[in-house]
Amino acid sequence: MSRMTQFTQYAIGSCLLALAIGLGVFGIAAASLDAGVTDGARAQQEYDKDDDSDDDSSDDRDDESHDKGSYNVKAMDARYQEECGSCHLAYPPHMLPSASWKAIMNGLDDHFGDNAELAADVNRRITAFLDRNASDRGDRMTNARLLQGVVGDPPLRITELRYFKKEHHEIPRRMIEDNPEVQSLSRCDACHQDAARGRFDEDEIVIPGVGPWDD
Amino acid sequence: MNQLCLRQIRPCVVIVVSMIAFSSHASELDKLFDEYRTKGVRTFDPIAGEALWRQEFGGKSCTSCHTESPRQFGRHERTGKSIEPVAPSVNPDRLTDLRHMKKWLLRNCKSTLGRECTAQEKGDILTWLRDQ
Repeated sequence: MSRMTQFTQYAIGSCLLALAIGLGVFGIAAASLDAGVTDGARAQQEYDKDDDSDDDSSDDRDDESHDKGSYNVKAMDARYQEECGSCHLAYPPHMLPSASWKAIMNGLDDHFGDNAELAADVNRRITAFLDRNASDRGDRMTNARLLQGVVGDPPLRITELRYFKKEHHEIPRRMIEDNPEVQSLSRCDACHQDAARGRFDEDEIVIPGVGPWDD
Repeated sequence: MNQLCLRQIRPCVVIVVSMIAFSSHASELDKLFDEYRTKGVRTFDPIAGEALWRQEFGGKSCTSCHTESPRQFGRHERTGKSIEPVAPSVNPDRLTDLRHMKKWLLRNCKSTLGRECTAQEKGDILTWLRDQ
């Protein structure tokens, strides 16, 4: 084998080796960067992106509901739905006054016996949404009814509200507490078919095992 | 001649190995395992993970809401809200989102055990759940 051929092979081999090492170092660096530093930044970006799109869409829906005049609740915030609605109905924010929502959001580490902690930025965002749409914000007639009797410490449960009690007092125990498919008045959507959209019209009530309810 | 062959093959081997290193993108779950390793966890034990799933803490356990089998739909003990199965074999979306996993491990450990789970406990239970 000539010296020339040997030299060429050696040169090609060295180049390939250098390329391989370079690629390897780049790969390891990219992988570790990806796992570490950029992760937080990317998560933050996704949040920001989400925030923008959520705000836009909820504004749109909001306008729509105003126009039709049929909904008595603001369109739900997507983050509120996701974070709170995964364990229970995302209760319409106009059902409690602002002070109630703030007290609830400040005590998520003991949320009626469960831990429901949120990251600080998510908590701020949801609290702001609830505050904006609380019963003592805005000028809707239904909100005035929900505020009846609210004095002193803010109520932490919708079921404690005077208006709520008045609306539900005539329903016998066997249909709620003793009904395995309902169990509690806090499960609005067990009977109010459209509760998830904030609608509680009487003609949309179906009590499981009992049937439609209309007084 | 033998030496020559070796010299030609060696770079190829290095290329293949480094390309594998480059292309293998750590999953969100792997990132979590890596995080636990940096906290000193050496091995993850699926048997301990399953035991933790079933262990009672003052009348509460993972199974209170998630049921005995992570392949089944669960039900929130108090609100009655349906909970999607945790097992990736029946619910491929599970164990794919780092933020989601961290949030629920924090909340549910505090709710059920009354404290945060250790890195070892979290690693064990995820190792068991991963194969369910």
